[in-house]
Amino acid sequence: MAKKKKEQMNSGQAEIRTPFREFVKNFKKQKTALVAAGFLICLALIAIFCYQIAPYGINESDYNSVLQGPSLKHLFGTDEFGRDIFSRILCGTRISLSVGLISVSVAAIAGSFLGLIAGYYGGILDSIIMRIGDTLFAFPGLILAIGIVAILGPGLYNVVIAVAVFGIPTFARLVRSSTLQLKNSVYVQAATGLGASDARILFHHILPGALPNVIVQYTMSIGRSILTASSLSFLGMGASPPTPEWGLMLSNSRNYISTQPHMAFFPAFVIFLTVLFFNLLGDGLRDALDPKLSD
Amino acid sequence: MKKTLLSCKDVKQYYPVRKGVFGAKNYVKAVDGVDLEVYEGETLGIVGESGCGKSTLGKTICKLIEPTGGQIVLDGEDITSYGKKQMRQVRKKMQMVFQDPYASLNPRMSIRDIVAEPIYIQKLLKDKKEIDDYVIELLRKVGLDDYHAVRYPHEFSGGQRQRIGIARALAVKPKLVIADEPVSALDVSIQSQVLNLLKELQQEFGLTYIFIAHDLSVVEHISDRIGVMYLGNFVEVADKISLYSKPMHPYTQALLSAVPIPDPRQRKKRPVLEGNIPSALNPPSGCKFHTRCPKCMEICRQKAPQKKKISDSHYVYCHLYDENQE
Repeated sequence: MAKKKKEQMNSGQAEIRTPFREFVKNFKKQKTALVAAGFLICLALIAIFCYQIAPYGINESDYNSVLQGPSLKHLFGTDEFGRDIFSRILCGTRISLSVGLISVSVAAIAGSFLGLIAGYYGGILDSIIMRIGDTLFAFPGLILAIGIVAILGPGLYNVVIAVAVFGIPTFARLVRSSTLQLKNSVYVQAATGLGASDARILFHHILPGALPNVIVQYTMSIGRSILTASSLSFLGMGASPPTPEWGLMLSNSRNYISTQPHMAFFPAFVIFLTVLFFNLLGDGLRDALDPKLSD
Repeated sequence: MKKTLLSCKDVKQYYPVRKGVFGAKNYVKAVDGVDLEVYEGETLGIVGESGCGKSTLGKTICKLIEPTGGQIVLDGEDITSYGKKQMRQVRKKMQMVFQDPYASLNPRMSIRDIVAEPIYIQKLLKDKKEIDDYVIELLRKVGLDDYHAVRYPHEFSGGQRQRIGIARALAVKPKLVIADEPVSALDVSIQSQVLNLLKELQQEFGLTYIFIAHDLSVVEHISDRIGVMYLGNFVEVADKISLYSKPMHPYTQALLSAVPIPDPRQRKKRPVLEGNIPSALNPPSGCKFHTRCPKCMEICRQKAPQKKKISDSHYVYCHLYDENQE
């Protein structure tokens, strides 16, 4: 019934330019971002099926081939215990991606919520939230994360918390500024004039308006949070051995860097690629979302 | 006897302004003690130049901004001190149409969702299909087509968007519609279409309009009574015929003489006003118009004029008519 209605409503013209379709159209023009998106989708698939496609087990030691360079048998070579670096990197994808996604999701949700409240209600609430945010901003990101991990103790979970906490103020600030702008827009006034509740105005009118910025920031942040998580693991504050975490693998390779550079190169290169492609995707998204909705 | 739908008594809207952190607090008196009565079924036009407070007055009546002082009574109900929750009920009776049709519709919502929003907020209908049908009925009423419902605002022209805004306002079946310059963002051919639509809808639904505009010919076309505002106050309120044929206040006279006449040979002597509208931050003493008034007298500088009755439907705020009128 509803479908029939839709068709009936739609009989006037074939295509409706919904905001989403406009976005897809714009995004298709961003070639670099499309490549980045393709790479990241592959990465996500690898993360899901890593244990099925990895040629060796992550903790499978082959003491006959320790510290070997790349070969057909071991694509990325082996480490000091004879473990296959290629397999370990594949399986590390799951860890790095989930650390990135979870921490940034937490930061985005909490930050957006705080930003909405601060921007919409203003006053003392705004001051409190934003001053706490400023305090967090005053620390360089990594130092803050180290500080939080130092308090909570090392471990992957705590790294996630630390990365999430230092991402919150960025989102809060971003959403607050959009909120301040949209709060005074005529269509929000119109909604007020209809008697809309605060919740309705915030989540129906203001949040969707702020969402494009949040999406861009979200993608960009994932790259940075993977980097931070890896850095923390590199410093021995994140994942503990024998987890196949990229930063940790990089850290283990330090002793062999002059003799076996492949051990450092491959994990570093994968980190580099992942972060790069997340940033490129973010750039593309920004360009696709930025021309606003054409008026 | 005409029934009063809305009455405002001494409504004030002041905006605080502070110079620096410790500077003295001052007020921009956007609306400064307005008395107003609107009768059921009529159209009251409000005119005045930019910055005279006509839009602010509209928003204050709608309680989009809290009034600084005074009393607003709608349909026998004093809504001045109503909070958000209480206002939700009142908003069923009173709706607003905004000036800028490009900004007043959320670009991320379909027309169906925009027009259905008041129905959801006021919980008028529950069933989704009923709502769909009602939205389509409303769109037809304002001269749009069924298939427009699934489209988005950026696909429409200014006139069409204003029709959508009108449909949204009518969704709750209001008694009073405050139209804040609904046609000034549209070009002339579209203006008349929208004005005629507003007239038709008024007949059909028995609406009462407060029609805010700065275009005198537009106001003449649609209004029954007209109030002329200057710097936060009315200077003259009268029925259309008597205002246009016999303007009493010097400001109204000057305004009316500025309406272009479509005859290049016709030359007439007309009062030309000097200078700009004074700042609402420091309004002139006495009659606020005295700085620009061609007929300014001594008393005008000292004392604000009271409301003078010229006839049953014609009131003016001017010292000129103190004695010579009965």
